Amino acid sequence: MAKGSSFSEVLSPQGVLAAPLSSVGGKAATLARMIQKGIQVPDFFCVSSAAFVRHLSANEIGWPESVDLTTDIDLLRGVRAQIIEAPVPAAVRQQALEAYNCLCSKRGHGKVAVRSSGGEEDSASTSFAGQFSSLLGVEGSADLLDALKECWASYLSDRSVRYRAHQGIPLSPAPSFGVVVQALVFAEKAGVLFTEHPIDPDLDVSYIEANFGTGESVVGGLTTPDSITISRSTGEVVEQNVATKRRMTLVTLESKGSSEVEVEDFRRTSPVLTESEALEIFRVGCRIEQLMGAPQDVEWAFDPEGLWILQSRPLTAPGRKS
Amino acid sequence: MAVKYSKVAEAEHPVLLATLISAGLQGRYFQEATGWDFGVQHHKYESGGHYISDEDLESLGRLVSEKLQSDSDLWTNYVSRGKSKGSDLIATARSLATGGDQAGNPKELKEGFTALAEATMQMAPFLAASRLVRAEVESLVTSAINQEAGEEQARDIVARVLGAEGESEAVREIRNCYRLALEIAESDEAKELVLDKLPATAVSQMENQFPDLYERLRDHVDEYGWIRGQVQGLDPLSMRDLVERIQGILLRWKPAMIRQAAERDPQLKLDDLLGFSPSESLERLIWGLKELATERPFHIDVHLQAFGIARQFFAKVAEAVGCGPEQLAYSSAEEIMRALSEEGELPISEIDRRIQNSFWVERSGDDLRLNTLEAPPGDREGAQTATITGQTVCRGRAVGTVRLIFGATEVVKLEVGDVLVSEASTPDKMGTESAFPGRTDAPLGLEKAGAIVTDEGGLLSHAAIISRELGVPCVVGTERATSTLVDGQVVEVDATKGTGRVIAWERSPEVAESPSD
Repeated sequence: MAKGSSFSEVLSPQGVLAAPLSSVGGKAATLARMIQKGIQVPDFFCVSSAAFVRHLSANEIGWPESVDLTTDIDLLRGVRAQIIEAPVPAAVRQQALEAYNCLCSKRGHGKVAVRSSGGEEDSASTSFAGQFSSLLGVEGSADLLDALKECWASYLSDRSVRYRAHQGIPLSPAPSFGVVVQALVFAEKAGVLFTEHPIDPDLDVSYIEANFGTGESVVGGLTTPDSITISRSTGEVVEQNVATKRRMTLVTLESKGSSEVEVEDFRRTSPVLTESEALEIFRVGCRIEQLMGAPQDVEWAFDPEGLWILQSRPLTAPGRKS
Repeated sequence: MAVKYSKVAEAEHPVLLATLISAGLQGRYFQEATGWDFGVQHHKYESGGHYISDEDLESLGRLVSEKLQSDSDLWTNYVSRGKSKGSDLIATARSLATGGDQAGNPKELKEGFTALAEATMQMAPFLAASRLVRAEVESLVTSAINQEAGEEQARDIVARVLGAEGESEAVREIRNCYRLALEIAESDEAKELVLDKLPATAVSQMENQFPDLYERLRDHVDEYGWIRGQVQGLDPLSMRDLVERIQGILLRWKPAMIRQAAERDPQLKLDDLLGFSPSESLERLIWGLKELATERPFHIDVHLQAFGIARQFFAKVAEAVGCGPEQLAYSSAEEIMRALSEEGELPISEIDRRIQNSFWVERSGDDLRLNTLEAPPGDREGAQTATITGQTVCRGRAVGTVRLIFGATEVVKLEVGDVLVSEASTPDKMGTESAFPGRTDAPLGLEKAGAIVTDEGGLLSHAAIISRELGVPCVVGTERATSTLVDGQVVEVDATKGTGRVIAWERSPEVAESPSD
């Protein structure tokens, strides 16, 4: 592993492009490539796995490489507690806070989303993915460092460890796990785009689901969202279903984290997206698919500035043709 | 003075079956069937259940209690009589279903109908008596264990013996289906045949290549096909349906997991249960109680089973009297007999009114009165909650036991083949506590689900993505699955079309046997 002052443990999108995938994770790499191609992605920086390694070594936390994943749950809990309680090493802290302050001054607010970006996550070849941890509406230096440690600890969460054991995927000898810190989008409406139909890829359509507020209500299945089907060959809307949307999730400047609220009566049965908004999402989706060379599962959001792409990943194989 | 009633049997059935059971609860049939000189005077059928008056139930209880003192073989005789009347009824139904072409011969139809009616009424008394006999034997067993092992153990042991009751016909059907799947999984050639061909082709080729296996599938359809047939609007299980379901099972699970579902049966071992060697008389008593515990669901099922099997026969009767099969089901036995004797026609408009509204049957003396009354709209809606619809997000078909799952930690409750029913997301703790915490991070145990049904969500929700990844039939956005379905109920999930359906094969267990006043 590279050492010395020239190697930065906290990377800008340009830095991510130059770094090995194992030190930043799939999510960070995809976001960086999208930014490079001019797709509107919220500003972010990536805390690389080198920072995680430094946190472990500076605090003398042993990496449990030879642990029996099926039985040593208590030991892993202990390691997780150590990761969370130990102070973030000064070098990492300084770089992360510098990058954070830079992000804040650009966006004019201090709220960020802190997301895990695992080396094994979000790849088309393996169904092991697991959003280890994803925290919305994090604000301030102290909260940021806590969120960072929480993301690191989630690498060893009971759930992901059991899943590894079940799938026979061993822990790597050193963590390959980046953390993405992304400027928060105060979404007015958000959702998911599949560039291919999720059930029947032969249909030659893209499929969008949308709700008011942030996209959590769509992916979490909190409510039945609107859906829009767009023909891939003609680029026209072929079907639109407007659902009764009872609940949504919101992040605001004032609130901590995201909260679940009722959708106001007057717009429960109103369409979330206009046709031109849906087509804009579709067109950006096509560009991402071209860029990544495979059908994509894209999370998007609208705020007063317009459309943002929050993340994108390949559609996993089993949902497609069997 | 107002008569108070207790519910003796819970069942979803139309007017015809209700009137026949009501008639069977007359003194004459009671005596013929059980050999006891006692009859029920006050009986009524209301909102899906049969009721007899508290007074009748009490006297019947006294009679059973006295008989038990003097006749130590009472319950063994009772159980075997019940079984033999039950098999008489099934045999009658089967012979009518497979009998020659009676269409156009009212005399033969009338004879057949009379035989079926008679056998149904002979079976009916066991519905009322089984509860009492069981209660009496239960108290005998409790006091015998008290003497031999002490009071503390008695309660626990009796509860566990009675716990063996929970196995309904629908659950047995599921288990047998998995046994068949396991057998097919263990033969490479049979497995290949079932997996590579369309169900219809697989059925016809199996008949030639695996006659034994074909025979057992046939038996399964004969024995259990009626369960599906009794659900409104569904044809009885066909060989094709069964092979389609087995295909789904073979695609989804490895043989070891299929075995788990096939062998879920909790076998009751007396020695393990007691922890001491019982006297011979106690052993017999416990055996009797166990036998009675499993008899009760049998008595209810037998009636429904016979009517399911005789569906083809009823279709012929309906044709002969000039109505549809559903209209026939909502006619009383007397009305059908009159029509078959050409003494009168079916009161079609009245029957249509019964189909629209709820109805009840009451016996007074030797008269049987069938009344209809306008049901409040809420009740009517309640009666139709059996089918729930939503959006299909992963195609397939499955039958399984409902498990309500309200978070990732509850997923361990799933047994192989269970139908996971979830809100899809937990308020406030979204993403961390839901049964579907991540897009691809399925909690361990989720792979056991035979189907997934959620209240909310779309094609791209976590539940939908995970179900497609696991290849599990999945219906989302039903709005009311968690509030309508009950843990332990057996349902069919039909996710073969864009609009997915959840169909209840049996009433929810919590509703059954609720006392009534």
